[in-house]
Amino acid sequence: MQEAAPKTASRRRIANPQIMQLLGVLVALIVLGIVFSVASKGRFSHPENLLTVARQVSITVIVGIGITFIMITGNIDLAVGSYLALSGIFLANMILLGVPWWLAVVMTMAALGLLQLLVGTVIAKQRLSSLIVTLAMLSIARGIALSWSGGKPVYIENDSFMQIGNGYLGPIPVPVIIAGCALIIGQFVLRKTRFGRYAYAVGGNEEAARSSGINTDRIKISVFVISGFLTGLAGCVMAGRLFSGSPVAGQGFELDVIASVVIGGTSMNGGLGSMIGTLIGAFMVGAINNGLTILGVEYYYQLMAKGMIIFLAILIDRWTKNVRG
Amino acid sequence: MKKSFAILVVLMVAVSFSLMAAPKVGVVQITLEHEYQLILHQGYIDKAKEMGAEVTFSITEMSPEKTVTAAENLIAGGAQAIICAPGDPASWKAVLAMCKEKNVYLLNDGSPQPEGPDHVAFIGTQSYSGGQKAGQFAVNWINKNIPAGKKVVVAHLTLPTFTDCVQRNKGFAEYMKANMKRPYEIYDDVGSGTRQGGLTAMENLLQAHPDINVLFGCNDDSALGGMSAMKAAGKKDAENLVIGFDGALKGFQEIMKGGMFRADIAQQPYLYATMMMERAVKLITGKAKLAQYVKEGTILIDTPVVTAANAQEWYDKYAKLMPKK
Amino acid sequence: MDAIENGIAMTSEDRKNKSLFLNFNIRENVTISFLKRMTKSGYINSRKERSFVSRFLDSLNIRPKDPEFPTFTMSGGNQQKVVIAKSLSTEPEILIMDEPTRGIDVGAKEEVYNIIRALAGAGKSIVLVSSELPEILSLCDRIIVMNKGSVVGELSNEEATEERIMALSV
Repeated sequence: MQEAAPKTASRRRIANPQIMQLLGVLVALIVLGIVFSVASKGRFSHPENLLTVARQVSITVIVGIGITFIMITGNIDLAVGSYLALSGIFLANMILLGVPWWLAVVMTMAALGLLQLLVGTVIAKQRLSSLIVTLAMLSIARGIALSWSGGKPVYIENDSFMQIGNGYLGPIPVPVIIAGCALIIGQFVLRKTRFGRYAYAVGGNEEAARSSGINTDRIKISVFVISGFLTGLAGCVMAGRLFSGSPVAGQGFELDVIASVVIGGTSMNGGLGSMIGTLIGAFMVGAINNGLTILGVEYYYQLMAKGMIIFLAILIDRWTKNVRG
Repeated sequence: MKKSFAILVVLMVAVSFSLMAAPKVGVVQITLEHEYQLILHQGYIDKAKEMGAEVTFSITEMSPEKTVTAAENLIAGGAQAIICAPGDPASWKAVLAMCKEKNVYLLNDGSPQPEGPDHVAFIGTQSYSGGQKAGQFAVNWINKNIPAGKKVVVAHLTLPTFTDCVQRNKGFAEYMKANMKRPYEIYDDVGSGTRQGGLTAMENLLQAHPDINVLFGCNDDSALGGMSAMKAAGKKDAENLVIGFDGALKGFQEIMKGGMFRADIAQQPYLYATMMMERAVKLITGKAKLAQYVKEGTILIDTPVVTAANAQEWYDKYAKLMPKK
Repeated sequence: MDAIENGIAMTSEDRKNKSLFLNFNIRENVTISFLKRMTKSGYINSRKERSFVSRFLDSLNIRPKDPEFPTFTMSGGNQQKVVIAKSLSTEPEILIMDEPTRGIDVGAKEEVYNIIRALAGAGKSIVLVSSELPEILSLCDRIIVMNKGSVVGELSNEEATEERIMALSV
């Protein structure tokens, strides 16, 4: 027995590929950060800039938590960018109607949650591909946002609300705090609750999940609803940043979020993933955007760099898929 | 994967070492996909070089939250002045607030915004009067070329989310209203500012109103797209009129061909990139004071009407300005 | 789901596709059917989980004896034991096993047979579905032969021989 213990202990350390991959991305991020700092003569690593990046990344992280849940169950949501805009428009209109801002935020989250309930139900019950359905929602939601607002931004004139997008709690920007809280809660739910375990199960092997007594439809619908709440929240934060609900916001956002989530180790096939990974992935994407701009790199090279990141993410995803057999 | 990063980074380190303590101007552009933007881009680069200043760019791809992020990153990179186009007014307020906070000059290179001591007045194109000139050309042409008995049906392609375009269309429509002595019909549809958008919109308009004989596109791309639809519908060159806006090389080429595309309201991006950059650098180096520029108010650059008479001249002028590949 | 409530569990022949979560480690696989009863208000107590699982690791001799070990790298035999542990976790009275030794090496096969005998000895009813005659003959008290979905005959263990079973099945 005594001899067996150390052997299994060392086997355990090597045999956990998810942690290895997470570590790998973290190391890559740190290396990138060091390189950027040196090249920019300290501009990148200036605490104010790091906080700026953290703030820019907050919205991606908040939405990313929801997407991580969705992708762990083996689904995807391509419409988040449009939902972001829709949330902003919804929020702004509520405030215009005289609803107190905090209530408007809650209503926005509820509205998006409801929308995602519908979407999730269609996907689960009708056994439709989430890719196709959310692709359609991408246009539908964008259309609703545009027509509701007439294509123009809806301004929000409310000082206390502005704190959400632009305020600070001590030295830390409010969006970062919101993202941090959401992250902690998300990670807890994922790792430490039955629901989280079920989500992994549904993504890992849907048939086995069903025969193990899991209501797979309910799990699938639930992750979409969670994502809806989070996207609504993120939309409010963004509206705070922009001082308005903007119908054209969030275009291309889905790419950023999905890249972040996948870089962070969540597999597009489901069953694998973590919130910490999503956080690291989001920082990776944000740091590259920020760092390359600080260094004045040509726009075309920036595009190529970002493309390489996505490619990297796909490679990583392939690798984790092989590992899963 | 890591290797390509290393190469990119070495490139960047090399680039950054060549940039010393010159005045630094950050420019936020919405896209580099249009000739207009490319010429603008080149104008900024040339003038900066001439004045011994450094210029860095960040491209936002039409997303308002990316505008805020772009400005943030440019400032983090050391820009002492930001030239930014408030294409979507939502982001403007946020960028304004940020520049104020970071003590960075903000210059507006888009459309007129409510003045403020915080930013330099707009130097840009006379979108509204440009639209009026288009209207003027149209009225003159109609009076000369469409026989008295024939119906005058005007199609009008728009882009409601872009303030400049809204102004152009407004100028056009209002001039016509005030100056067309004959009865006429006017219809509009969203051309999205692209060839494809213009084509589709025009096809739809022609379905409803097959005798359209005048087309004004809020930019050259949509006008050209709309023209393809007219040609496909069998419209004859001599009896129809297409007017574009922007001063794109393709527009000039069409004019020179002598077909139904007869006028292009040219913007002068190079000219005002030059003026903007000059102002920015002067502000940074203290050679000019903000108050003086604010007092000068809005400077609107003229939009000459390019027709068959001067198309060749304009074509040559702009062809020279395109970035050397 | 109802089956589990009623004390019936099944392990299917297609391990990878039907029963085993390759993205889970041993512990997660074993407890997945049982989580509802194990968790209070949804919260998973890892210590309770681990001790629950270690019982099975011991009794089924799953190697390596590490609850955190990822299942996708385990041998077929050990994977099958995990699947069995999984179905046992709900403490069923009746266990249906469909081709449980398919694709497992000889040594592991013996271990699985021992497990089955032990379970039967402990009073559980096991329905073994198999196309391997030696296996059936060595394990089963009663043998029901089916052909094209219908029952064509029944033999007791004493009566059964390979030839007799073959004769019935054609």
